[in-house]
Amino acid sequence: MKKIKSAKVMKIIFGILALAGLALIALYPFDNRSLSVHFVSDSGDYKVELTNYEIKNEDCTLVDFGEDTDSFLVQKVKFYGASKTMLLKEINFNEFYPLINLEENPGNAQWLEDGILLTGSNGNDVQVLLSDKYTEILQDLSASYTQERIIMGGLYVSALAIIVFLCMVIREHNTENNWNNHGPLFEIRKFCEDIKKYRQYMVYAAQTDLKAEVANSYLNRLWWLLEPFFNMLVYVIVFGNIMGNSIENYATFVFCALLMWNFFNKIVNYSVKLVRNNKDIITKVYIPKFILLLSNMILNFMKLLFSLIVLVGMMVVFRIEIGFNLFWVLPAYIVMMLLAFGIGMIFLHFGVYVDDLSYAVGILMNMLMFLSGIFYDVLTTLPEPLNAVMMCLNPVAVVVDTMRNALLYNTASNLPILGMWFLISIILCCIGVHIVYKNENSYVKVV
Amino acid sequence: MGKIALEVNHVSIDYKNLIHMSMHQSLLKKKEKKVDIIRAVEDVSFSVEQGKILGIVGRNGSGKTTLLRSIAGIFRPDEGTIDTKGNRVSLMAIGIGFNPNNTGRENILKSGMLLGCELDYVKEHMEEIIEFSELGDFIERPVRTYSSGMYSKLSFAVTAILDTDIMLVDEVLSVGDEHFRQKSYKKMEELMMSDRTVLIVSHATNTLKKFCNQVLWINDGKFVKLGETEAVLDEYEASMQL
Repeated sequence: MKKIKSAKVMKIIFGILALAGLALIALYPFDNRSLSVHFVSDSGDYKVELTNYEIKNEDCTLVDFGEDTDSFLVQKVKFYGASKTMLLKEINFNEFYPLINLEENPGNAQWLEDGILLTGSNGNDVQVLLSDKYTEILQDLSASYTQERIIMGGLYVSALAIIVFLCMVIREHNTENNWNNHGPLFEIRKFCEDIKKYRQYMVYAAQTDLKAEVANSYLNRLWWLLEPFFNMLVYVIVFGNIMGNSIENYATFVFCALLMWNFFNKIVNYSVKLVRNNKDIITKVYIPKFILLLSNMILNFMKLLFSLIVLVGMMVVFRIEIGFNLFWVLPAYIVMMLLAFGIGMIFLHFGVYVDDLSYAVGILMNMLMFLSGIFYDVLTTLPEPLNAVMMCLNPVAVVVDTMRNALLYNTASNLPILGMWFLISIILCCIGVHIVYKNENSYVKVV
Repeated sequence: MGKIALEVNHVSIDYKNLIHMSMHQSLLKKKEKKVDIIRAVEDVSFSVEQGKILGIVGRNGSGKTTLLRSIAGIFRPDEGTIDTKGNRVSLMAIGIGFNPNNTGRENILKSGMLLGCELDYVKEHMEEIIEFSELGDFIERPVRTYSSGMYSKLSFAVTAILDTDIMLVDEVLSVGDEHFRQKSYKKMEELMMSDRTVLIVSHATNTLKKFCNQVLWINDGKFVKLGETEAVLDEYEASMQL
């Protein structure tokens, strides 16, 4: 009796400490940060590093582009924090023009159609003097620590989860083994054994289901190309032409994000109804339920690979340059799949008991799609505080943005946040697998 | 005494029925219990020796199928233990994981793997299964085009041919036409000779008399009698008379 009580007290203390840590991260007065400003032009970027003291003392308005160039065409200005992959703010040249202090400018600034041409006057260096508004932007960015706080919070939660995990391992080690064991080590071993045992079934079931899906249609496998393609056409017409926007290669921009989103959407929606849809199997043999979800993921992955043909075709047609940073597409997809699996497992469990969940998930996924920047760029389109929060807290927006930047612009982006979501996704997977293992025996009785 | 292949110890199984209430109902009736527990199997114990055939009888709804499912590992008993001594168990049921849009051949592979067999093993026995199922050319057609008899024949063939140590048969012996029925009886006799342990649930007492070494009688989830086939079945039949 006493032992149980002390365990309870320990749990409460742990909870309070955990919350205190979170509060500390949220409220700690961090120093203002240093910034790096990138002036983007066709011929390359010009980078200016600014320390937090320079920004505080408003000692950063004069930008000198050096002696080597006669002129500099500014198209965009990007602001980065400590990490060179975390874009804080991006402004276009037409927003940049009002920031120039035209009266005292030592050089010349000319508004052209594709940028702002800066030249030095009388053979001097190319220079531009910027106004107080620019300083204000810098000071705001330097003072805000939201992004870092969220990343730290995420890492902190992951660390707590690992501590809890270790505690459970120790507890498992100390208790006797019996058939009702649900300790983490036991479950991990079981998970691996199940995957090994059912791997052939997973792949074969995915193949045959895929075949069955198109067996009776005239256009057959062509549908896997046509479906995302026409979806993309709708978005391009509605958001590109009717609503109007200035994103280059808008069709490719939408299409690559749409492929990723469709995968995620299908997995999550499928998982809610998984047990009901597979009643025939589940009531007749024992099968670990996650095998069915994995099988569906393989199926959708095969479809995705097929749709890639269209994407590659579009990239060739629109002459999109690729480079080494294309590699970052891979981690983005891995995080997305882990996330889909983790969320799917959790929804799978609740979907058995709560019929209404499929409606709710449908609505939620629809909202998530519009918040994740499938057909717009989150950072530049959404209003000021919302965009940074979205880029940190919405994992789908993060993976879509990383994937798209790697694919279309050959840049690595959002890596710290991607890492954070990687950890959180793995934790979600563990939780999901645990819940399902613990309860899967009662699913048959409900169905 | 031979080797024990299956041991069931004091097993009880509950069904929890969630009583679905709409939002305002559940708010108004807070005190009413929301879960309705039905005890389907209560404190049943028995053991089966390897190579023996056990028949299970009882009225409808007396928990026979529930017991079999729980032995097959589809769900765990709420109380008690089931020890299969490491044997592989298969529940012979109609159409495990059959996808109506796939061909018979694909479905054989799929359900074979669901029963825990390796892909190569199922492929080796493919021809044997097809021959046993008497489907002929239909094996290459989608399962949705099958008649219900063909469907049952195929699923019987899959579980009968693929080798599992313990086989659970739930009222599927009477599938198909007369010819196929005789064939499946013959197969069952073959199994009797072999080393496989079989549990049969059936209402056809004649069938049970033919095959079983022992019969278990359960009523309303409770253990009634376990003993020699003739004696238990006679008593059971007597109790079923109007």
